[in-house]
Amino acid sequence: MDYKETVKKYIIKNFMFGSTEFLENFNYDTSFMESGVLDSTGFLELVNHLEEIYKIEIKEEDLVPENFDTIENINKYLSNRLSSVK
Amino acid sequence: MCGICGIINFEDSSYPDIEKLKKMMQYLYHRGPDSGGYYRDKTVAFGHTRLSIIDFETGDQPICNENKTLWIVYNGEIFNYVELREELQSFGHIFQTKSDTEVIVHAYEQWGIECLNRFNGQWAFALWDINKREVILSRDNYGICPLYYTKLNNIFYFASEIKSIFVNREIRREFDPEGIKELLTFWNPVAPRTIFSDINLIPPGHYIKITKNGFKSEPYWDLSSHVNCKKTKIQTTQDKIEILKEKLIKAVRLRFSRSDVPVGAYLSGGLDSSIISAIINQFTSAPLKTFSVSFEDKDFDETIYQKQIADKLGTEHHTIKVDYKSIGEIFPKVIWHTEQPVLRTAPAPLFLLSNLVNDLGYKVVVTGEGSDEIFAGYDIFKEAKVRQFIAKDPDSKIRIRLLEKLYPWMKRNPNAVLSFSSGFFKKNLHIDDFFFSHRLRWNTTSSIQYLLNRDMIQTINTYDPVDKLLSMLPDQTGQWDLTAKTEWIEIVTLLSSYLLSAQGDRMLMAHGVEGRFPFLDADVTGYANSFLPEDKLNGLTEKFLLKKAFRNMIPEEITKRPKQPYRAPDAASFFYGKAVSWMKDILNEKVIKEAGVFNPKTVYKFILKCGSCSGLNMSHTDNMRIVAILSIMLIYHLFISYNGFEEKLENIKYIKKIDLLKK
Repeated sequence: MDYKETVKKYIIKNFMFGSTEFLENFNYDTSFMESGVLDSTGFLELVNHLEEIYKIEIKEEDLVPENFDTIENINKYLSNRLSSVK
Repeated sequence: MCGICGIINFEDSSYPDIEKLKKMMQYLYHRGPDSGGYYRDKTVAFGHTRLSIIDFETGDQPICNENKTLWIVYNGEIFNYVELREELQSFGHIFQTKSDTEVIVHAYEQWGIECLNRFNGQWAFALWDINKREVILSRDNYGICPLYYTKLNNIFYFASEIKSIFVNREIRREFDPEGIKELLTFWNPVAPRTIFSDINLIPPGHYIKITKNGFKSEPYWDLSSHVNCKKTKIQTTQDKIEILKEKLIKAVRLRFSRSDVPVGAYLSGGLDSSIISAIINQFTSAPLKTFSVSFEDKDFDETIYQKQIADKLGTEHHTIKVDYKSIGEIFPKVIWHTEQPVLRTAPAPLFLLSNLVNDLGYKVVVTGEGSDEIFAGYDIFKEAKVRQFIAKDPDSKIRIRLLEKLYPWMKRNPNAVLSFSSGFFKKNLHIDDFFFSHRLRWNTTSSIQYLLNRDMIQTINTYDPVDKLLSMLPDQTGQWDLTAKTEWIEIVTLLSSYLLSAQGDRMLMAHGVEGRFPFLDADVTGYANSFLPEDKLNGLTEKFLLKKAFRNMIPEEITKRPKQPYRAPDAASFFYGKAVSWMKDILNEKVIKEAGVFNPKTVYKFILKCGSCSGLNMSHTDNMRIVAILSIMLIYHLFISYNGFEEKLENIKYIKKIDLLKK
């Protein structure tokens, strides 16, 4: 399953408030940290949301930028986690 | 303190308008409710609203020299005026009053512009030199007292507050887009810039000379040599502790005793205000009244520490309890007084506190401002040090654990999850970058800019505030240590325009209360800046020698407690329970479009997000976002579309009316 569009919609709605004007090339590879879309506490908000929506528990050791810093990374992480659940 | 304003017109075809001056004075009534006075001739009109603190009988302004060729309006205190007066008398100067105001006049006669470096205090003044036909405007070295100016059609206007200048309806009232970008990077525009395109602020430590040919702004004092003095190892630690103690005690006593009205003290519960109160208690004979803010939301409350110190010192302690609603409701009034947008609601409780002080009949308080800058108290000093340490070996698993020591007070502590936050704090690890300490913070703050509309984004796209700051850097900063660099940035970007103004002078003077700041005493800052970096931040212990110097005078709980910066609830103040009622007036689509700053759709979606969680548990950036939106729109509403000017004005009790044009 592909989570990219769902996650992108959530990020745009919740952290960019519907506007991508400031980031012309916002795409699946855009780093949230580099672009300033998320601050360090914003990441916790994102993680809480994913836990809630996908009914998973994200372990502390998984909380690294490699898993959550881009839409692509989140997609990979979710795909792995959710396929292993089934 | 007081309010000052004026009109300067060197053209022969017209004279300064006295009715206009009186109107300008009315908007400074709150700064000086005791009395008023003015002076006018063919070239200048000076107004003064007085808060009487020193020399009730003869201290009314404007004041002149013996032969009436120098006229001054002045706001502030020169704390060494007694000593300067004696010195000037020995040169033959004759004094008509007992005020510090007159000392400035004679000091200027004696030493010219050099006199500014002899003053130890806080001031903003305008001095009209009739013989030289020039006006000098000046502000103290750390920028405690405000002074704004603008020029329109060869007429120069100045005032302690912008609202007084805006009385002149022909002066353009609009946002400065570059000021907006500086606000949404540094937390406020950097002087001389303000949020308004046609209003300038005299930078701290500067003076302006105005003549028929125009005006020129010059520094009289060099911050950089102060921040980065020659660090010597000549004195022993024990010597430094003793000397620092002596100097700070003297600074507090000066500020406590040089007043003809009683002086109170703010008590935050932190180290600095505790030290000041303890000094007053031990080294003066006057009974002490202390004043504190307490918060209903426990995350922000420091009552327990405030009570500890007040009990120990036996002060008459007064507290005002602040909840979400009281901040939310008072916020438009707060912004009327800050005269600039803010990213934090922290000024609001201080607005309520000065009201309490005024109600209790006090006009002067001493506070702990300035200590965090000069003794490396802020968390950003530690953050920079830890990141510098990590930068030397970014892959070290041990070094990264130091991040856990940062921000122990923060509720949504990003370091709770170390592996994750390390990614954040490991960004921008270029230690040669002068702005190493602040880049992360500025990047985070800049993301508020997502809310701006397309036109605004395009307008500011090529402007880089950090480049501007780079151009302000003094020469030869290559050898500066990280603490000195961080201190310079904090002082230049935040101390004067935000802490001492939006959160300082404006909140105090809104209710006619003067603030005095012993840590910014010239003698104290001068000495502190000869310290080695480790005398300030030792390991990760902030204010190292300061704590040692005063540990026997204040409870151990205060010196040992983790540092907690003064903060107030942000988003929750506007959304908890029911959204504040005034919000709908400034956030409708039509007004947002008119103001031309934000994208209305984006704002709408963001407001929905705030409402859905009642403003609770939002990220730091979201908290800044909501305060930025509301305060920018309030500035538009109150100043640009001119609604704030409809408020009822008080009548000034004129004591001194000198109008040379009146027949």
